[in-house]
Amino acid sequence: MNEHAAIPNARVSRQRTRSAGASTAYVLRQIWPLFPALAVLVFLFALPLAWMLPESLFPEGQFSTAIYAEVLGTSYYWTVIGRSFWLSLVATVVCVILGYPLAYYLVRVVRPRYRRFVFMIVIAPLFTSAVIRAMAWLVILGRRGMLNETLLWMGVIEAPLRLLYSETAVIIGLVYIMIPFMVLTVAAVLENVNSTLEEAARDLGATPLGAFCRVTFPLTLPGVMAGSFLVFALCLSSYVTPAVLGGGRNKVMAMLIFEQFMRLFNWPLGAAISCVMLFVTLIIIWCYNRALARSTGGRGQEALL
Amino acid sequence: MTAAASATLRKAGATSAGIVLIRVAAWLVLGLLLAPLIVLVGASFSSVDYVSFPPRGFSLQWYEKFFADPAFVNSLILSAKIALAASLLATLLGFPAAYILVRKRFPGRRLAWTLLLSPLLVPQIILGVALLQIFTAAGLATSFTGLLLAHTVAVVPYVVRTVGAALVGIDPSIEEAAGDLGASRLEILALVVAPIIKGGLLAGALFAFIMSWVNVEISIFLSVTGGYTLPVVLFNFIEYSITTVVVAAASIAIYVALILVLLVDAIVGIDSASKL
Repeated sequence: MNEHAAIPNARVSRQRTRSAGASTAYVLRQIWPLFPALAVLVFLFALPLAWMLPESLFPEGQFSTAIYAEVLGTSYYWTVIGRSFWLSLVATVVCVILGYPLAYYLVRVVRPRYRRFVFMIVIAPLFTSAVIRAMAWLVILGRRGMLNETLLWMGVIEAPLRLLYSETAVIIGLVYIMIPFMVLTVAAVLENVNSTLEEAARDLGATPLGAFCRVTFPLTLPGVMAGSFLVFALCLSSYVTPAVLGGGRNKVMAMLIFEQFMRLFNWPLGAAISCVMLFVTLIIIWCYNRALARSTGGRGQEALL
Repeated sequence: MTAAASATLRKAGATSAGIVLIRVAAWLVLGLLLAPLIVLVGASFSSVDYVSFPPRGFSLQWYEKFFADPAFVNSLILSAKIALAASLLATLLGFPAAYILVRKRFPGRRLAWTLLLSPLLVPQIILGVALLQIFTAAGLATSFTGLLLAHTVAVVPYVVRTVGAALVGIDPSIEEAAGDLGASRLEILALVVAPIIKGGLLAGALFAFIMSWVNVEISIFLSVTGGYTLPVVLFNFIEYSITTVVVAAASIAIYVALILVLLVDAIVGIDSASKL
């Protein structure tokens, strides 16, 4: 009855003397406002997701792992899965390189009166849909797009470059979408790192770069890891950006799922790929939670919540 | 000049060089974040129908065409309706739930909390196909209700998290006093707690609205008969071709985003959006 002992409520303490049945009824009466939301989440989230497993394991009413064998035994699917991982990895690394300086600037450097403005610039793209952000890169990277026209005008190139519908275009699009997530995660951790530590290192003779590399950066490393896991997981499951900027030839996992459900109507196969993706994502999210827990000294779970 | 003083000077010089470097890097990235949105808005004022930036000429004709096309206008209205209804519903579900989760201790509390937040962790496309299957079986796959419920599930976590955070700092003795004076649980929630955490509630509802408004990867599976939300319409367009009307439509969504940013900043401070 530990959980009852933790309730700071006199009326509940009195309940402890009653029978277990009465106390269960009492707890249910206490927490009923929770139930509508829980019911919605169970019936429209947990059960539909769980349903994917039998859907893919009992394709014709009988247990069979044939679909999984097909997915994991066909080199085409491995190429697509490999490409998804590769693109996500590159995008994540670029996000760290571009996001860290901005996070540092936001927390340590920017003058207080500009801080809100900088914050707005970081947040604003999050308030537009991924379609709009991918569309912007269509305009910039297209055959007659801004970049090609500029390079042609400057005489750097003689014929327009083929920039769109390539892995590079997908990476650019993913990085653009993910930078805010990286910046916000690293900035949140950096805010908890005491800036006097870096000053102390400087006073003890460290160069600014040395103080940063040996004091501040290691302390923010869990934040960088957390941001990287988050960005990696989001990249791995993104659909819109690769579909718009990658063209049909550079398929990623999410595009396979869409195709199976909306074009080929092979739902069991789509469900199997979804289960694989969900499994991988949950492992990455678990790593994210652990990294966040380390960066906040064990308060990670609460920080996420 | 003493050695110590020159060391201090050297230190200060090196610091400012490093700081300048960080400033430059940070503003380059900030430029990168803003540039694509500026390019779209700029291109929408072009007077030719192929997309160009810098815009050729100046005209508002593409905005006129957008508002003259019922397909676009209906999708704008559908997006707004879904986002409003989903954020309202998510608040009605999420606020009482967050209140119980923060205030009460009971077995399974942690599990309930995890469940209510887990739509944030699951890839949206998977939630989309999972709901497509269930709704197809239930005959809701192309209905407004289906799309609304899907969006509600996806945005409930934003309400729970924001309202939960707002409740943590509130002294529960006021609610207990109201209870002792005979207020029912619902009265306490609506008349005592809600006014106290008004800001958190508004922020939660606003974040829910935004996340529904920008959603593509769930909406794309659950088109309402005869209509799509604005992001899905734009997606279907740009898979084939991109014209200035589409860019004008995107620009309208960017204006809405800017208004929402200012709204969030005015109501709860832009810093609070960092928990999105």
